[in-house]
Amino acid sequence: MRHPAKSLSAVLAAVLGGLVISGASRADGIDRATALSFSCTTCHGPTGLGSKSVPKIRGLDSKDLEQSMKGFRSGEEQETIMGRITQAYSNEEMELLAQYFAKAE
Amino acid sequence: MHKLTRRDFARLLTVAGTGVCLNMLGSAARAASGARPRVVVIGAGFGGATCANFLRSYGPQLDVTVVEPKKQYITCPFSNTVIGGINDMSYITYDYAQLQARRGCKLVQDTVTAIDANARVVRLKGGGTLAYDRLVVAPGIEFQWDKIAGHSLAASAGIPHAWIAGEQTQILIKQLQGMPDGGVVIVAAPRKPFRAPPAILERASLIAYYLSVNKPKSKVLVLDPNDAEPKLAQFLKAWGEMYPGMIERISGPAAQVTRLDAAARTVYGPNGESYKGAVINLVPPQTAAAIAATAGLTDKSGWCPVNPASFESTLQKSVYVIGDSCIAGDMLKSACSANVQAKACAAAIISSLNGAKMHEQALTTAFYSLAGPKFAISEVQTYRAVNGRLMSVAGGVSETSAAKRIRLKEAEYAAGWYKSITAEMLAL
Repeated sequence: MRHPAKSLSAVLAAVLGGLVISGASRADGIDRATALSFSCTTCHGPTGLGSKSVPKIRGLDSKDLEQSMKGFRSGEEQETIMGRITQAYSNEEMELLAQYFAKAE
Repeated sequence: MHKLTRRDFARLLTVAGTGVCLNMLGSAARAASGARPRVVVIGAGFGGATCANFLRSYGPQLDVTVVEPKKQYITCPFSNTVIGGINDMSYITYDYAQLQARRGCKLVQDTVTAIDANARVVRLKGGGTLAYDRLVVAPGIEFQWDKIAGHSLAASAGIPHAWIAGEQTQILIKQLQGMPDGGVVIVAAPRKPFRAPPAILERASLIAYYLSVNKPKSKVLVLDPNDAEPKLAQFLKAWGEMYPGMIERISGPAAQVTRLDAAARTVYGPNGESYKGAVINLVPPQTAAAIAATAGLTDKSGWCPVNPASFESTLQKSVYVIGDSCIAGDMLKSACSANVQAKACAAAIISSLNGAKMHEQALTTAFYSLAGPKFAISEVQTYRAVNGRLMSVAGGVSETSAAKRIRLKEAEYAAGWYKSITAEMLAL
């Protein structure tokens, strides 16, 4: 048998509780590094696994990745398209991306 | 403990007289009753299917249903290589098996005829309806046949556009195979905005490649009424090297096709300029697919205005528009744009359903165009929302003076890009 009054308070508590939980928890959103990584995987393969001659970037050393990106940007490392792409990214974004792909299993 | 249905919840709230808008609490009520948030995606191309794949990858709790009329997907990217005789149709033909099996997206083979954004329901041609908490609209383009006097959908069986890959691609290939050596192939572009403008130059190049191998006395005439493409200098140089004297390009207002005489295989410019071809590859002017206008998602331009960070429609709440049909600032209409928009949109939807923070997006696109089988020209751009508009913050085209080995490398990258972007679309 249902008890509307009890049910109502239970449901409202659940709704409010849910709102509070989802408001406080960022775990269920998409974090910044993941969102940034979405532009890399278009060419570098789903989750950065590489695609034909486009190199794998997942699971590499984060310092190496970061240095490569910064090297492309400064022109120190020559490559046909990465030099143009890296102009758009900040040091902080490169560090986030390097850590993200290094950690990816 | 008993489970509450959505109706019970609505009744309870009404009884309580809370004055809270039920529609707004809809998703919360569903969450409280344990129901999974429902996302419906209209169209399973580079926008829609990619979005569905990423919604399920990063939001496994979501119930994602994709409505798509076609069983098979034939990609526009690399369709020019099929026209050029480099690949066959199987190279660009896919199905949705992995999107369902691997990712758990539901595929409904049907067409959406109406969207009720207030009731959050879409109606299907087959008679059914689908309720949603968030709706993604990615229906692609529609041709404006009436902008070219004498043209029609029926006439396109003889005067192909091949700008939606599939049967149209095959019609164009058959006509190229059937034409006499020494004939002229006309490739006519519409005025912008239209799908993948640099692909006109790729189309002309790979038709020239086919002709140079099979019918070397033939010519290609490009009619392009738009301002010069950023890649034009690179293409002109490539044409001089690979197809000397074979491709002629006419630009400016005189190159805008306003009339077609299909029987005479002739197209006409606005001041009566006439161009006759053995084959006419006529790409008509375009607008967002009809469902976008029917659903009130388009503005006066015929395309869909969206929030540049989330791709939510500025005209309808909880409806997102991605791919060729949306207005995305400086972004070209292309498969790659649709791909990065789809992923940003998936992130925005997941964040919004979870009440989480939405991060600023950087959308990087790579657009490769082939001038020959081993010769590609790349353009990369990174877009960010600046003052409410997606603007390119950096990028450019590979240098006109690039060495042959760079062009070869870019052709190899193009193949890698194609494999990667189709995998991201179809969960391959």
